[in-house]
Amino acid sequence: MGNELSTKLEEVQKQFQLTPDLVVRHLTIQATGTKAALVYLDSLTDNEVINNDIVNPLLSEGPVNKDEHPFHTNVGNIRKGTEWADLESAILSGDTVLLIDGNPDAFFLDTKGWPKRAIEDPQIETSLKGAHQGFLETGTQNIALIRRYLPDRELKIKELTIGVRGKTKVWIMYLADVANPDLLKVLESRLAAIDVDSIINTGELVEYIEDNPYSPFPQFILTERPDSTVSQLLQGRMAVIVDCSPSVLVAPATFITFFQSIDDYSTRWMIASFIRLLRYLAFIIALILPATYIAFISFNYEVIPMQLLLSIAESRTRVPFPPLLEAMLMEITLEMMRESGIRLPAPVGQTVGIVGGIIIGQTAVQAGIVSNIMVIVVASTAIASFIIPSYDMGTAIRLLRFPMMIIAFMFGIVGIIIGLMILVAHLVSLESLGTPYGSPLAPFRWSDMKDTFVRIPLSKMVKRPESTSPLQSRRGKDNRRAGGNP
Amino acid sequence: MKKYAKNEISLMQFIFIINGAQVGTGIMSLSGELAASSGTDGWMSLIIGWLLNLVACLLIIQVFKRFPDDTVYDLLKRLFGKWLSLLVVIPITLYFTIFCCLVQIKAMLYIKAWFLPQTPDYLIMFLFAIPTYMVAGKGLRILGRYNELVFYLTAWMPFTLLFVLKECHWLHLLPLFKDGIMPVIRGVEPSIYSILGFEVLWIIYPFLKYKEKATQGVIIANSITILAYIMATIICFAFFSPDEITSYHQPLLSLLKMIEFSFLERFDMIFLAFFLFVVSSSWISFMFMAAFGVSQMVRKQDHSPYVAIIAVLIIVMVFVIHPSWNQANEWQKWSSRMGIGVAYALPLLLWAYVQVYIRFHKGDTR
Amino acid sequence: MKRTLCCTVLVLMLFLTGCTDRLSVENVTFILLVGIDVDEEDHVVYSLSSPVFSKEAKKKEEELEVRAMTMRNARENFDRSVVASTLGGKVQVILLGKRIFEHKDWFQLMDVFYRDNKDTVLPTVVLVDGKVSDLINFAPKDKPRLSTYLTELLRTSHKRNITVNTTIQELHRQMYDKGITPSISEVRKDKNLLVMGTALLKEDGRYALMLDPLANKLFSTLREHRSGEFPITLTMPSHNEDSFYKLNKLSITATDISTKTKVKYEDNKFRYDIKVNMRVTLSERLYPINLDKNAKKIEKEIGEELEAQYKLLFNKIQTAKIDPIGLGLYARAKEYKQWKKVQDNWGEALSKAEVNVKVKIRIMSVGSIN
Repeated sequence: MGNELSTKLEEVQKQFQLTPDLVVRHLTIQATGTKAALVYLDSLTDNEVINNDIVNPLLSEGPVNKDEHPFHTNVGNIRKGTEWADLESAILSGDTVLLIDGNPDAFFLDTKGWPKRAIEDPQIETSLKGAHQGFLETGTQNIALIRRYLPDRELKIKELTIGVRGKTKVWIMYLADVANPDLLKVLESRLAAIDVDSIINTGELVEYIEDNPYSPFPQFILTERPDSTVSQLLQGRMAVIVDCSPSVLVAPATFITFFQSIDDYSTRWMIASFIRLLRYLAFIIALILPATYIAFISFNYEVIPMQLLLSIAESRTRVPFPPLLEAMLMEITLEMMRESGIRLPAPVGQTVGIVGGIIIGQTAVQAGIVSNIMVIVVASTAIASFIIPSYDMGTAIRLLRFPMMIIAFMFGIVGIIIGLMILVAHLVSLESLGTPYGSPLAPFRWSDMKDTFVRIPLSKMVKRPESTSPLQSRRGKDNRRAGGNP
Repeated sequence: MKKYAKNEISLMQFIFIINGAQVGTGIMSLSGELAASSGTDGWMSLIIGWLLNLVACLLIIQVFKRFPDDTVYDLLKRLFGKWLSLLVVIPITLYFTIFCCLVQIKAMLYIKAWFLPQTPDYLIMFLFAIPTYMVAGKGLRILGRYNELVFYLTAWMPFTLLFVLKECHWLHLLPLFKDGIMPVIRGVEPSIYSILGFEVLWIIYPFLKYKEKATQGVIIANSITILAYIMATIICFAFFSPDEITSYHQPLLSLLKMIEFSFLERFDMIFLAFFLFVVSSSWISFMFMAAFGVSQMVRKQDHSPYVAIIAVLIIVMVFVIHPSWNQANEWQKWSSRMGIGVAYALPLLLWAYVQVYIRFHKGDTR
Repeated sequence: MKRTLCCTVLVLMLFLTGCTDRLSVENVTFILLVGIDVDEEDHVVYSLSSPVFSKEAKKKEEELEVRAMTMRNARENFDRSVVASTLGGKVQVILLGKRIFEHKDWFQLMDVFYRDNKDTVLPTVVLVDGKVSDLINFAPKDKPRLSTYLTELLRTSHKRNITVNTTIQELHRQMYDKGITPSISEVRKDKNLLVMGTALLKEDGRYALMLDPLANKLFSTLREHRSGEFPITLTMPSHNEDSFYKLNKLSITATDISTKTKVKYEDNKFRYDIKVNMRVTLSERLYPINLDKNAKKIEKEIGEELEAQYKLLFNKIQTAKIDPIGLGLYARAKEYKQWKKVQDNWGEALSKAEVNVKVKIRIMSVGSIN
């Protein structure tokens, strides 16, 4: 880099053109009497740290331990660098660079500080009894949130940088004596293989590392809850924290993990089991109820009992559209309402609710656009699709409902079965980090059943799920001895 | 050494592949055919069939005991050389292909009769081909998972038969052995089509992870199948009069018509639709075996293109011939006879040959 | 690129050809009632009735009567006059005119119900004493839709064991099985609909005789599948009936019935020993007797009276050479060798058989007064 301070500063100025927030502060280190300069980006640094912990000590006198640093400072995290590239990335990540005349090294002092928001309740994954802390946009803070739950030296963190321009920091967290190292290797190599400008969001990262990008199903869990992340870590999964993104990726996932919620473990087990079963029922309803309705009223009326059939036929006679169009009309209106509800600020959002109530309601029936039964079908489908705790899984199911409706319209109940067959075929061939997605159903794992359709009392749930192939299968006290069963 | 280690299957998957291949469309008409050949004693023929199956399975396992990493294709090549083995290998592959085709055609005929009489048959076959390619094209492990999941998804179905118990006349079953033992033995032949399927063992055996559990696996698989058959047959016999049952083509479905709930009528349609899942696990298994066989014959590693080729060939065949019920039944008879060769005669012959072969090549094998 | 093109073409193909079976529910006319009768000129007449959904229509259903070759043919004729295409999968009741039963082989007319996979096998078969057309055009103002009315009527009267409930599936069994002869409900339309009792048919399907409600109750107790209630009113011969009101009557409700049928082949004929155990509640008693003290005596008396009634029933059955109870099933199960000889002439064989019915009564409760 060179020894001369002025040439070094010139070079810095050259590299950071059109960067008005770049600050260069000239000063003399009192202890040694050499000239020096501090270079930092005003917007990314904590000014108080710079003034109190860097500038003040630098200007104070006293003996210096030359072996370590030729200056005084209160900052703990100091690195040395000699390359221009190091200097550049240090400045851009919020460090303050100390350049000293006659010294070939540049010193990078950690002074990161940028606008942060306070910890809030998670927005999407609200919970009744869980903690009211959600992840934030600062990766280090997210790590802190997790560490608070798990003060364990086996909780390891691997740091990686992704993106040529963004240089997003990514941390993999896992319990070294639980998580399967083969899966870790797969995850690491997939992360390392990403070649992009920048990763803005965890959702983006997922697309680069998932097993099958052409699947509608989420293959990793994206969560904004530290408590559920910790619970997953304890089950032998790995968490990937992306800096600047408030959601954390958990891998590997299986189909049923998207039906579990952190609240299941804090409510009584019978109630939790009932709610679990309700979710699976909701999954089936949301997936095939409109399709079944279409199939039954346009192909297989024999199946409907006489009295019901008469009332369906009576209400259908007023509707001029074929069943598919009728259903599509309602379903698409519903989806539009849902989508507009997300974007609108809360006070305006109420209007959508009222208008929606009119559209999907008695007026639509009176106008002769849809039949009574269709309204019931659409409404119960909508409710069912919102029960699923994972937002990603919920949207997947909402999307899959449409092809199901179309195939039911073409082939009736046979179409639905073929559709389900394709779905099953897809689910069994899907993998998450190379582990089967359909586990613990296919391949069947009896011990995992304790936390699949029902949740049995926690005291009976002594083993970690086999679907993550953990190193130690037992939870709790005896696990160090029982370990080593991949 | 282990060339199939990548696609190893667990014991459960092993069981459900055999079971899935066995249970197909046969169960619908089985009780009628048994009644025609051996009256109300027909269900006992199934027990004989079960014993036969077990013997054949154990023979196959014995054959493989010396060559645990071989499929039948590798084994025949080892025993008879490249070209001579083709004499046996081609019929086996052909048999798997024909069986896959036949099961699909029968399923298609059921669907046309019950649900979609006007829809072109090749279109239904095309619909079948999609999940077939998705599963069979992926490999044995995925096939195992599919069959496993399908088994759990459809495990409730036999229990729906219990709804007709209150309409049953158990007197129909008496007396046992009413015309002696001969009719019971005669009943084995019509049930062959339904109990065939365990011959997939020829191919899946080397994929099994724990070979020592193979015997246990085949016993469980065959028992599940036969139990389901016996249950369906006995309930049909008890429900229908022995004088009328032969007039029904598919007694089981006619029986299911009786089940009615306050929210659902015509339960046979729902049952048949869901049964398509069970049938699919049968034809998909056979499809995998056929495609695997072809890929072995042309010495290619990847079998998935052959799945597509066979599927397209079957669709084209249906498009050209438009098979009818009578034709399908005729083919069923022929393929059952072929099945006797592949599933019962071949194990016996190979077993005998292997015994001799081992005597002479003591040093060569492991 | 090529693959996407292929897929698009295939999907298009699906769209273009896959819709031929579709028929929306509002475009279908469901046949709810089917009638078959023989008219004065000895032609087979089919009548069909189906509901009308349109708000503008005043009548709740439309009917049609045609002389046709077959059932299917009649349906086609129906298609010519109704607004939507007809479908037979929802038939509730099949009405058969009494004249049908004058000739054998009428059962073949029902073929379509068994052959067509879309058709159901659950409609009840009913014999109409009179003309079917009178009944099918019957639209009482104070009753729901005729099909609903008829099904409900038959259901409740079967529950009270006034008549049997024979679905066409059951009829098929009774027609084909050699050890049982058919029995179906009989109704009559005078001013109102009236369930008469059970019509018993011969093996070949011709009309044999009718069982009145009391006989039907006894008959139903002997059948394999019992259900519903058995309210029975008996005339006790041991008490004099000199009162103007004929006060020698007694009503019981059998709550728990079990029967044991034994069959033996002796002296060149079958011998049936039927034991009937009934647990009853006494629901009405018109003549004076102390029930608490004479319970045993009354039990015995009721038993004897019922035995006499059973004897009458079997006399009727045996003279008509029919077997509606299905005693032939027992013969087949227990005496197969002998059965095989007579199976094609079972009615004849049964008429020669000896049938003994033993009734054992246990009174469980006599109600709130003595």
